[in-house]
Amino acid sequence: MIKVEVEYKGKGFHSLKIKGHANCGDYGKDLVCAGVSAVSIGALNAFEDPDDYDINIESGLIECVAKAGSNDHDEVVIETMLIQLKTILASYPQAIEIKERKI
Amino acid sequence: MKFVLDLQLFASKKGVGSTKNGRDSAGRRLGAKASDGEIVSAGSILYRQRGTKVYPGHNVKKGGDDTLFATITGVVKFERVGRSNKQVSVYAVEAK
Repeated sequence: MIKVEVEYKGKGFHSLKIKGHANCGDYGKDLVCAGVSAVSIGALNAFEDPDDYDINIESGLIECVAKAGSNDHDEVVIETMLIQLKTILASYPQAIEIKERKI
Repeated sequence: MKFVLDLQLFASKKGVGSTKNGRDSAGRRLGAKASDGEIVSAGSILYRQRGTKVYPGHNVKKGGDDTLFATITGVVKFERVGRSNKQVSVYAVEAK
């Protein structure tokens, strides 16, 4: 299962962690994994300036921490990404889990 | 674009190699072919086995593959031999 954890500080985005494996198919044919990969990496590319964030991408893991808070543009990007991930969750509840919390 | 998309970033394991196992022979259908008290004709197979799980008793012979068969027409009897062995015998049926 892929676990998505989003943390907000105050009203803004603070950090994102996507970890795990979808296990919904053989390597190269895992549809849920492909969906989550495309949505999450697409969002990172959509940031106004990716250098405003500490980003780590490796197999089965994406970590993204805002160095100094985010801006309105990036807030919309994160919100859009979450809605897309929740859309995947609605169809594949056994493959993905999303948690949001304030710190 | 700063980040290159890997569509299998969250896939399970990398391409798993194939296994060298996965073969098995068909079952040999061993075991008893006649039950205790059953009337069999001469030459009937009584027990298929590898080695002598069951020994040949009266009027029973052992084939080359350890198969036990009746040498006369009669009723089958599975008997205990010693503490832990078994044998199968065939006893003639008295004509009434």
